[in-house]
Amino acid sequence: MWTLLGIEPINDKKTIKRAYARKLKNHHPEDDPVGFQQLNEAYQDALKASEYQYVQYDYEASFVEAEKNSFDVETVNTSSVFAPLDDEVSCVETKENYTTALSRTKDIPPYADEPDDVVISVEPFLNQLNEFKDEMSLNDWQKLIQDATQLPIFERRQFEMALLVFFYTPVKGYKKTILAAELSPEFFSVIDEHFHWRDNELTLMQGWAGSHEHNSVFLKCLHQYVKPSPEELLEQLEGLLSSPYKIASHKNWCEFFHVACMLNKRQLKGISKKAFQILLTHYHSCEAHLTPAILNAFDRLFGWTWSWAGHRTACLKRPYRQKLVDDTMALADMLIEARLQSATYAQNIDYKKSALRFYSTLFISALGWSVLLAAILFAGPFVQVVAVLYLIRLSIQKIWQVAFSR
Amino acid sequence: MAIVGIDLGTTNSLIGIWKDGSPALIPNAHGDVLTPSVVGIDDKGEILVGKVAKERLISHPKETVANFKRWMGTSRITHLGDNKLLPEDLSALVLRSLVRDAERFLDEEIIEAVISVPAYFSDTQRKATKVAGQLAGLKVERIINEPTAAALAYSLDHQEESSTLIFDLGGGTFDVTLLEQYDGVIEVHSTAGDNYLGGEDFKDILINHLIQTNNLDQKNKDPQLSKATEEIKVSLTKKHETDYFFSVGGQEVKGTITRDEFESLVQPLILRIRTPLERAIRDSGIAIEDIDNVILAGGSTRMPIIRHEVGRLLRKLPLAHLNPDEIVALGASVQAGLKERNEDLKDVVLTDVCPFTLGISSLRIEGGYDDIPVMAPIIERNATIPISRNQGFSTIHRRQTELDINIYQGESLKLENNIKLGDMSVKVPRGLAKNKSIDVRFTYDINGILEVIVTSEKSGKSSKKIINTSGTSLTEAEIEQKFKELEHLKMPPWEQEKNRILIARSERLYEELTGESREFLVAAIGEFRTSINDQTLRPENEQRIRDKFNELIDNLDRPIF
Repeated sequence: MWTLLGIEPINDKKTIKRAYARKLKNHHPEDDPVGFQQLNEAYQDALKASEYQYVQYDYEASFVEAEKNSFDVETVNTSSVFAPLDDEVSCVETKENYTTALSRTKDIPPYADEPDDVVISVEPFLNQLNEFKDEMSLNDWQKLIQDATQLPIFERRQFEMALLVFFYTPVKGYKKTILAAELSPEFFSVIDEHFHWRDNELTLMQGWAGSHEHNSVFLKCLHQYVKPSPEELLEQLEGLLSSPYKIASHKNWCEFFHVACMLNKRQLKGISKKAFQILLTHYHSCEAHLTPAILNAFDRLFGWTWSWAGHRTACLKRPYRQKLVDDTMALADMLIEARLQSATYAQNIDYKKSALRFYSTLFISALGWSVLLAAILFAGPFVQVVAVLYLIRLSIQKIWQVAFSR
Repeated sequence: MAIVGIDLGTTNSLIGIWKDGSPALIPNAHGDVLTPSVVGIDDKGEILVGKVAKERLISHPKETVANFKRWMGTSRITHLGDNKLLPEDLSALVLRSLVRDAERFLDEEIIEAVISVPAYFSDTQRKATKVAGQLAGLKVERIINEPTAAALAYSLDHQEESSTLIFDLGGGTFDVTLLEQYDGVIEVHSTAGDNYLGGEDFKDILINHLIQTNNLDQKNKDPQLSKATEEIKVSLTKKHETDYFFSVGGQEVKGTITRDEFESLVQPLILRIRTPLERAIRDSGIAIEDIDNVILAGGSTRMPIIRHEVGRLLRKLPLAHLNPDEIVALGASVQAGLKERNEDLKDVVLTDVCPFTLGISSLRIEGGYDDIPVMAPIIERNATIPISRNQGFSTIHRRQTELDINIYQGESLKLENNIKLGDMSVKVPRGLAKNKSIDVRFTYDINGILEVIVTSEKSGKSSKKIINTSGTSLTEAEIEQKFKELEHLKMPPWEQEKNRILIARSERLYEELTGESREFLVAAIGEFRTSINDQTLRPENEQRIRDKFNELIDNLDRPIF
């Protein structure tokens, strides 16, 4: 591309533009469309390359600067803890954009012809967003968003960006700590109404905020929360599995399972087989990324190990190749293994449910033990023998379980 | 053999030419550069265009049409006398009158024209504009985007390196374009717009307001009300408060409206200018603070609220030293000069973009959309043109032998939100499902014409289609025939134009006046008519009579504001 432009690789955009202008006289768009297209593509690539180099060069500095400015965006912090390296780059980028954007506003003098009553500062809005509380009603929310649309474009974009970030942020004041993305769909529709997020889907996904991943996952969420459908879930799963760098991100899986939990039991059952097949087809390419925690979450969601036999036969019945059979078996092993390990991740997803189950098992076993003890102490000899035998069986089972899981 | 540049607007049209190193606009028979885009027919079956027709909008509302640019690309039929006319035909009549003025002025035959269209005009609407040109007997190779034209006009005077935002709010359409210029290159980065937002919408809101506040039982279309409203709108751009007084259908309407009131009424429209503005800025990749100039084009940008809003959103005082009505036509004339490769312009290169995404419908088996077809973009919006892009597609079923290809334009994933441009079907050799079997190539040329070539992978056969959209598109033969039909529609001799407009104006005035002055006017009209129809009248005397009559009408038709 540099030869087409007739210059050495360089970072300076002005030089690239000048070279392009020079060459353009030879490849006039009216006479030489093919030559022009080649030249134009080389030019666009060169511009992109120069930008990339610039980012690379300034990476350290911008990170330090971002730290210094220490604008409190919780998500950025949390996600960079979770995320692997390439995810981190994008996060830092967002942060950099965000903070520099913010510091810029302060420098710009207010517009000269501005009447006094016009809002120009984005700060109060950001503050309001940061202090988002459980008590905030839909009306307040609507007012906040509506007022924000009155901001000048530059500030609006800042606010929009903050909104995007906001939807990954756990809301502290909200009953319990949940992701803001779990708010009711009405909140989304308000945003959509004023910021037209769904219309600008492609643009948002192209990542004008600098982090492609955030936006795409978010937008999928947006669609799902408004109207979750099993098909979209499958598509999301497919998307997650087909690009290994996304799988690596813990957060993306979180999003996925959050959405999945929105579906009812019947819908889940309906897509269970398909989901399994998708998992199976991508099993080889992303084996390393499928941690036990994720598999376990799948299992909890679809209950695969419960209906295991059915699934396996369904898969094996088809005239698949031997490799696929092996894959199925391997995946099955992994699933079972994962199930036996401690389910920390699943607890995260489904904290409430698992807590309930935990207490209920505790209660039932306590009841059982007391009945047994009572039987041994007070009942007749026959019942006593039965109770002791049962006790022995229980302890053997417990010992067996512990031994197996080790 | 000159090439002219034409701005075919919703309310006004202009014609210009590149001459002696600068663009120049050509005045019409009445000495104005603005020719109202209004077409009418008189009692003799002669076609009237421009100011005359505009005056007759009130006196003969049924035989006059305006604002037909908004119908371009549709097959809406207008009845004008005994003629049934498509929007293209109406535009062709305006073009014909413009060209006739220019031919007289230049004393030269005009064979080719560059016509400007709103940047956000769809492929269909562009085609319709081209057809209109052909119907007017012109060769129209080049269609230029209006904001690009405005930029062209601006950048000729300002050669320095800069990035510019053009905000073009015309009578019926709204466009935003961001571009950069350096070393003689004018590079358009992005374009966005709204095809149904313009001065007319502001007027409609005001009309509705007047009807409500004054309890009028009038329809929106009433031409008298419309004219009065237009005057109120214009005077509100200069004054903070205006009184109005006019009569509609025998009912007298009187009142006051302030600018603040008007501005709060049009707030919903103001909100609509934000979305395209933001999209254009986002797509361009230029930061807002890096935009050096903001240029306003289109008559509606005279409204203070628009200027204020643009300034507020972009934090920059918009430039308005160029006449917003004329800037687009000047740019089109520059483009005409570029087209003929004028020596003065040999260092200027203009690169434009395709303002919308083009693609075909497809099932995304792997992507979950295996039951409903969705849009598969091939040329993304704001790609620099001319451009040619290809993409491979595969069959879905085994032993499939045919593939339907539907071509769409638009940004939505869902097909129903996009505009269908055409379809074709290709034969493919029988084979397994999901094997890559065809290659679809989209070529979007500098004139904004899309060509689709589908090549079968295995057989190597290719079929080609130049998109001719259904609905209004016509074949060459049909155009030829239509051209002949339109020939029958006669326009009055050029010399009589001036007299006609005076009579038309006085007839309009007759409706507004009452009592004594009305009688006086009738007498004056009668006298004027007999004297100009006198065969023995000498030209210089005719001019004198005309001036006298004109003065008389001016006295009677004093503006009320």
